[in-house]
Amino acid sequence: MTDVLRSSPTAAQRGPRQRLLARLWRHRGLYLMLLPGLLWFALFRYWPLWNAQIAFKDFQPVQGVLHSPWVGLSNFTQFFQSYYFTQLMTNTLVISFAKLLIGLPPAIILALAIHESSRKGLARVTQTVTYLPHFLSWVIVFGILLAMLSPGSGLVNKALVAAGGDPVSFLTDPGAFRAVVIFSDIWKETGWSAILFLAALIGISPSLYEAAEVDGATRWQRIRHISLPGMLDVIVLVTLLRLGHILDAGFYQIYVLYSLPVYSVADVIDTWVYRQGIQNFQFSLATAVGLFKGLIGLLMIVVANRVARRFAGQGLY
Amino acid sequence: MTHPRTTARTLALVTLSALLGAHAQKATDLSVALYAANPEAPAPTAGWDTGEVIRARTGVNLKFTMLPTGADGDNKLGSLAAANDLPDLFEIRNRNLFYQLIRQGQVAPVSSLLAQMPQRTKARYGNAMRNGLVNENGQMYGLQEPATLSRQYGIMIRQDWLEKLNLKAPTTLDEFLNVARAFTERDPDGNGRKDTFGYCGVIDFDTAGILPGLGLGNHFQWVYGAYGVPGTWNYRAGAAFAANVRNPNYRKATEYVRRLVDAKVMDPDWATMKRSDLRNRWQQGKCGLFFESVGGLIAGFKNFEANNPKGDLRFVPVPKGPAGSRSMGTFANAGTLLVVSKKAMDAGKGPAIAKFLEWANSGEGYYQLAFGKKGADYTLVGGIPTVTTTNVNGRLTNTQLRFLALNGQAAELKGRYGTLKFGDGRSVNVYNLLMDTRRTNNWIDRSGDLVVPAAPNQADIDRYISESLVQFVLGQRPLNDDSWKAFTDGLNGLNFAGYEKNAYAALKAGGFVK
Repeated sequence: MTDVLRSSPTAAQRGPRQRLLARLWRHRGLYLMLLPGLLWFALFRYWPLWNAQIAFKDFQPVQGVLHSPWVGLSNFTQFFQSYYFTQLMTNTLVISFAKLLIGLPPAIILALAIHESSRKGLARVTQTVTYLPHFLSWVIVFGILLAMLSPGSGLVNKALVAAGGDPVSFLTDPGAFRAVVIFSDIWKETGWSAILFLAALIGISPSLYEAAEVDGATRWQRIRHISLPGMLDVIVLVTLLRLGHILDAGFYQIYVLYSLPVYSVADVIDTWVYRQGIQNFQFSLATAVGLFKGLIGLLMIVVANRVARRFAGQGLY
Repeated sequence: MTHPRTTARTLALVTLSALLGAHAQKATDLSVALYAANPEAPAPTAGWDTGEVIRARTGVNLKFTMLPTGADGDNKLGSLAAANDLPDLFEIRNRNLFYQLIRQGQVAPVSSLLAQMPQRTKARYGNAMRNGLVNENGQMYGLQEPATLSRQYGIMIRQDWLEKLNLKAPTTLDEFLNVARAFTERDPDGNGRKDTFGYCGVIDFDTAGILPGLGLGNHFQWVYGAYGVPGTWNYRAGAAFAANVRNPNYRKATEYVRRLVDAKVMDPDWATMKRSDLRNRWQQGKCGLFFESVGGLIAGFKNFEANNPKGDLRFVPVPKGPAGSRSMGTFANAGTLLVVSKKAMDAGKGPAIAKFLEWANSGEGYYQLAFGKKGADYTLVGGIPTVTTTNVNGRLTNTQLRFLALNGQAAELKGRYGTLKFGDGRSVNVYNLLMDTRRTNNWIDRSGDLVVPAAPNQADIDRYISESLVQFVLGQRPLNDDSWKAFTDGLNGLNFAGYEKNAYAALKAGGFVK
């Protein structure tokens, strides 16, 4: 027994490979739990990158991804030279930034309101009622909007007419359509977005609030000096993550809501790709636009992260 | 010792069994994807009667996939094509996809199948002009069926409202507007509210038997027909061939639609409504005039009657324009397009496909696919298949493959389009209605549209024209000389001239234009 113990090398005597294996074995439970996540990323995030090469090819399914002929950047130039390119970029950025800038504050305010509420029952009901619309599909939301906004029989227009005004075609008027897109998105997603901020608020130590209260801080002062700084990390994180998807203006929502009369203000990159790339079977073009969107998103994250680190002292990485 | 005769019998039986066994083993798996004949009815289940009959008669194990209607079906086929996983035999409605698949080598020439299905070929594939729609580089890449049910659309009118308001059915565009105005403003349903519409139409190209095209869609094609510019192309212009949108009459037709909108005789939701919304409206009794098919009339008739017990719907002849032109729209003399994947042909499935299609063309196969189970779903009355079952969904499920069988002949149409009986004892022979809409509406055959190749930026072209027209008719853009010129000049930025040039070349090569 003693001989055996003597013959096994000490930690210092083991090589780096052995040390690594020993460490892996010691934390085998954690690594096992990590495995499904890694597999998911490998299969659904990294493996598709291989197929993304069709963005630079004239994809021929019979020849496969590997053997389809290379066409250089022609799929990208087709998109950049598209008749509607400028309009598509403008619409996408306007809708996306508006959703970010107008949509974020209500979620923060809602989280603060729920957190500050002294009636916990009411807070729970409010939270449930506000996040439930997140689970409705855009098709259902469109039905609700039609019932509210239709110029013929919508409740809002009936009220306008009853008040002596003229009905407004909210869904076909280019002047009103973007507002419908942005506010319907806020209505649907604010409660869901508030959950993250609420989690951040719950993570703040109650002793800070108690100390502030003892010092005579008002509710507003507590929010300003404790809650908001406590949420700042999450606000920055959410903003950075959303900036990474700045060219995703919300395909499903716009596809369901838009129609010919409002294409000029509603057609975004994704709806164009759907019509030109998917319905016209130009899969290489659709992939090229997807890559372009990904690159812009990455760029936005890198730049915004630097800005956040400089001015807020913290970033995503 | 066994008797020699017994031995011979045994040997004969063994040989017969072996042959039968071999025959059973020859059953071929065949994947078939078709657009749903009836999307509202369920897809056939695995234990489907028709599937058993097909196996017994043709030795084919049929794996049937119902494609969703409209663009969703096209997208599904496109995805299967991208994965190089097309079904053995399938239907294509999107010509752009068809030509792409030919270029990619995913579909096989089908000429070799014709001799293997002589009756079907004689009945369906003998028209050289129609076969020309599926020829590429001298090869026939599809089985182009003749149209079995085109031109079934028309403008319907509430005859009871006409009589109540002491009006005559409109025959010109001006009369049409006057009647539509009266239907909107004079409370024809007598409920004391101004809640009816003169004309109900939607922006919709997806109507069976009518060609897709540029502009406002089929529900307004009759307006463009009244100005002599229905459809996308001007076939009669010879060397001056161009798209109709270049013709000054196209603007006049657009101005007329604008007049309908300005007069507020149309449902204010029309620009965003779907065809199903329109059908709800007329069934509720909100529409005095509307564009509908004979099939749509049959499907919605019960609802309409329940909501409007005294309602009386009739087709009116298409109105004439100022110069006397009139046309309800355009149609193609071509129906279902069937395609065989190259993989299936390479795997030797050609003979099984031919045998299955030949069986579907006539006799037992025809009736089984077109009308369901004899005795259970239908009976023959004087040679006319007459539906007897009350299980509508069951019958429709049994006949989801009916477009492989239908032939459009009189007995079949009389069987499909019987008599509608009203609660007050009146009745309408729908077959006669169908014949009337075909005969009286000056439909224009534009089958050649099917050979026109899509432009690389087709989606942008479609959007530009449709969006601009909608803006004109909704009043979002002024409709005058300058704005119209700006609109037609804008076509240059889309290389529309190149699209026209390619269209002319294809139509000329196909013999559709001089």
